[in-house]
Amino acid sequence: MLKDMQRAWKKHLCEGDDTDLAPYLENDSLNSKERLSVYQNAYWVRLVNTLIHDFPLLALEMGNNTFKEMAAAYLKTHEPSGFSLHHLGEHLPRYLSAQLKENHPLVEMAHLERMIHLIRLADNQPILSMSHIKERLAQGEPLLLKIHASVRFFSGQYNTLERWQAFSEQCLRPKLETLSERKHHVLWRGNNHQVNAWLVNDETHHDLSALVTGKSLQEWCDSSSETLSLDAAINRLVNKVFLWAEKGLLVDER
Amino acid sequence: MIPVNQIGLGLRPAYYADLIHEKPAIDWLEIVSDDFLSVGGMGPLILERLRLDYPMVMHGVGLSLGSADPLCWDYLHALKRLQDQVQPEWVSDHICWTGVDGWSSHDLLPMPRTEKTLAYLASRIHVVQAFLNRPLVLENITAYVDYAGNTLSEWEFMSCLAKKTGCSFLLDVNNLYVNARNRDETLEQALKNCPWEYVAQYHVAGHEETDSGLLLDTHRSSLSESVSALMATCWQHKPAPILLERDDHLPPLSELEQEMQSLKARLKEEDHA
Repeated sequence: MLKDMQRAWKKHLCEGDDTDLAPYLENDSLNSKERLSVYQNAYWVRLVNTLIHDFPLLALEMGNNTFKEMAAAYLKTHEPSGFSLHHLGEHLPRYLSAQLKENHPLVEMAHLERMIHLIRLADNQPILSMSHIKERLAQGEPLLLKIHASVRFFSGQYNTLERWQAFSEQCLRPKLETLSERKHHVLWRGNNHQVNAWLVNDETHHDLSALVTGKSLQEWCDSSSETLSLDAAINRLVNKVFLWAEKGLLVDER
Repeated sequence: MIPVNQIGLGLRPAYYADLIHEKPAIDWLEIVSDDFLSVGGMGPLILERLRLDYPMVMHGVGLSLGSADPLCWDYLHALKRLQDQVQPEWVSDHICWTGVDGWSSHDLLPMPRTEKTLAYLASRIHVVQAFLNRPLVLENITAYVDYAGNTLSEWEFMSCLAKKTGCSFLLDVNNLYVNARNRDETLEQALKNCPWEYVAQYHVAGHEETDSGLLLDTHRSSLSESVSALMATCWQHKPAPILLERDDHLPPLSELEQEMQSLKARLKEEDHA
């Protein structure tokens, strides 16, 4: 009975259909359509505003009304579940790409803004400093190096990242441009909680991607030594580790 | 314990910087637990910093005690982790449900008030209290509709719940006012049977009126004279710490400090009178 009543509420809130809910309610002015609409309005406003908050530049680019229409349609196919609103926009980039095209600039923006959201929420791990590495090495203590939990990769064919940075830092909106070639960026959260970006080449992109997707430094070194001598592979690893540590991409899990 | 004559503020992101850098003389803070359940991001760091300067209580919106779904253990574990971090004076949520079949409305929806739902809620409150190892403080919500099958009044329901479970009552005075007005009840009626002995905290906030006269619990304006007066009356019945809530159209923090000071002065005056 309680479950049926709650399902009737769901039908009202999600579909605007109160036929199942009406029998549960007092039959007087207290339960007028206006009162029920308070709940329905609050439901949609809260969810759509959450998406506007999580995809601010996408909402601006699409225009407020178009974004709201898209968001409402998205929420009908991806109903909010779980206790956290942080998951609400999880499928929005993919939803948008099905509506538009995978390589549409708005889809790229949606992917980037979702990524930024996840970077901001990533675990708070202390970023490894160069002085910490030197201290450990001087003491002959081992390091257990991992990539910081906030590290993500963004590959774009438009100037989406530059536009997002200009918007979030200075409220500017540079014109959309198509890049001559796809660019890869490493994005991560720094000590000051700013989102940092580093333009990387294919090789660095490949190396870091492997580590982010779970490969250990040992495995990475082993695979490098298939094409290089062991010494050369180790040298290469050390150089890279120092560079990544300087950037603030590493943590010491010991 | 937070003294009964202290007025706290609902912590909102817009005020983080002012609170951290200027440390205004606010008695205590209430955090929305759900804003801090994620283990990452700035939230935990901000709490760690603010805890040094302000006593805190945790106020949740996602327990969904009245849902027909099983209790969400992911939520409960996250809440307990936060409780361990914050060490709050108390933990509160609402007498309501928020979702069913895994779907979440992210809203506080009213419970039917029957013996059956009372027993159901009580059993779930017992589980949560045992898990968190503390009694809950539960709030009355704004309800724009009532159920045909209700057999208990709101106060009877709350009172029985407190007796059965040992939970306390967070009386939201704005919700009390809005519900009374929207139901065409007098405030005397609303106050008459309130289970004062169980009141452990108050909420006050602003509301708005639609063209048709319906009051909406919007939390986006300052306190009305009516709610301030009702707050003072309630406080005469049962002194308890008060929390000022503001969720939208956020003014400068100094404006809310002024609002809290005015309310404090009013309580003092009425106390002397």
